[in-house]
Amino acid sequence: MQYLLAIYEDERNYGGRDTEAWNNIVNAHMQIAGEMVQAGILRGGAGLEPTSTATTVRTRGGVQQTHDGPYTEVREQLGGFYLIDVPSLDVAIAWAKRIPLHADGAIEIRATLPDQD
Amino acid sequence: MRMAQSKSGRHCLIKINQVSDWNALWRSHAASLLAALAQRLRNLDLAEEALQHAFEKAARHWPDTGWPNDPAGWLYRTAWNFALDQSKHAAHVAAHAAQPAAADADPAPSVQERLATFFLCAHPALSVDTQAMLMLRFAAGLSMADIARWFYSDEQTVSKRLQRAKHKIEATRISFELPEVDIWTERLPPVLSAIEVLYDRSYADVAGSEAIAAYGRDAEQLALTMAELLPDQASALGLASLIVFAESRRSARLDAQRSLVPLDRQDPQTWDGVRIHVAAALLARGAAAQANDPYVVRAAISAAHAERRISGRTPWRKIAALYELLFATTAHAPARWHQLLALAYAGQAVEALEKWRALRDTASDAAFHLIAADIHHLNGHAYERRAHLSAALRYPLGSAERQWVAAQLARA
Repeated sequence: MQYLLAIYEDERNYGGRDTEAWNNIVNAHMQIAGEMVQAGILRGGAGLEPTSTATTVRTRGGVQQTHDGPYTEVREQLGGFYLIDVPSLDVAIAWAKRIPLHADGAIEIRATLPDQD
Repeated sequence: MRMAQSKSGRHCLIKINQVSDWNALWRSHAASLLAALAQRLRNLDLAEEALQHAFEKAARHWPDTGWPNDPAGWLYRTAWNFALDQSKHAAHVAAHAAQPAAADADPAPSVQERLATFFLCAHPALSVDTQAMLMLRFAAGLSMADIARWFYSDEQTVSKRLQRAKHKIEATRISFELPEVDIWTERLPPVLSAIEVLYDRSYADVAGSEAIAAYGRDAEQLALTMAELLPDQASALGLASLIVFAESRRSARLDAQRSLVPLDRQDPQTWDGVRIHVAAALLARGAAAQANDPYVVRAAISAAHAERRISGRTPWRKIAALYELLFATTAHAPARWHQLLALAYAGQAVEALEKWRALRDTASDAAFHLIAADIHHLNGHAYERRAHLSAALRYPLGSAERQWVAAQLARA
């Protein structure tokens, strides 16, 4: 089964790009992604540009509007994700626990819907 | 404690046209059959549906054919064959069913299967209440109506919550496998705390119906099962000991007016000596495994109270020391409150009150005020005692507990 591991952290923790904190976390992600590839479970993933660059298309009452900014203002934002293929939630939880965070944060695990075939 | 049921033969002589016989049949077999079917089918819904079908079929046929020699085996085979016949599930069963999984398999779940059921129901990805509901259903075999009474809820709500939990288990593929032993330290606490939640609900309302008392015994049975399945785990042994000690005092906790009798005023000769013996043996094994495990320490506190049955007096100093140890390992504020109360009973009322006043805890439940009332009482402070007793009444309490507090207040 495929699981999305969505990473939520306060993006301000990094103090921008090319800081020490930023370089450390990038290296740590390279490391875990490498291990996922070795284990043959990695199906996708990416780090995301900060929410200051987000664009949202919202539909309300059938009318679509495109606006600058994230879907919603929150204290911890979606900063990246992995898509992995493992046999059970417990295995997904074990991988989620190994995803690096700079400080406080959360990894939300979402199982994907089964293929319609 | 419920008597062990023999797997076969036991019910052959019973005439089965009475509802109570069917209830007895369900009570003695449903839990183990559900656990076995769920584990082997790898599907909780299908296990329930199949067992329901088997009981319904038994109700139609047994009055004519007489009871089979092996009712559990008959129910298991009927349920298993029904599950296989469900075409929409056939592919699922073929793909996921555990081996060996045949109609002629032992209808009683193995130790591994029973343990795996507990771990599945109390998976940390499920909410604590949901864990308890699933355990009542699949480890204790309770009906939806009984579970609803447990949670002061209605059947429809409980059924919806269980449905959601079962969907999550299936959709996110929560594993039916027994987790590796090395992660039990992480996974065992939710299992034990779900059993504790079950027990607390029955303990808190001592004057509750017979059904509530029966639930206390269900929780006791689950705790004993865990202790039997995990004979080296201190916390499993400690929880079982703790619950059996508490059950040993159930009948002594209520007086003729259905008002609470607090522990220190109970007649120890009315306690259940057999249970005390069983609980003490569990405690000894738990303490040998890990003496400072919080469940073991709490059981040791119960054991200290039980000493009064023999010696005629409560060893308050020992109890204070055990609560101190409990607070040191858990940092759980009520442990500190009880430590000070025990100190007050041990003849150090003034010192206990000084330390109580130095606490920075804020009142959050009736227990806080009841303990404060007792410490003030032991210091001869009638005014403060009254204030704390009235404050306690502003929090939720079982009917017997409320009656007792109100009576204290009236007399104070």
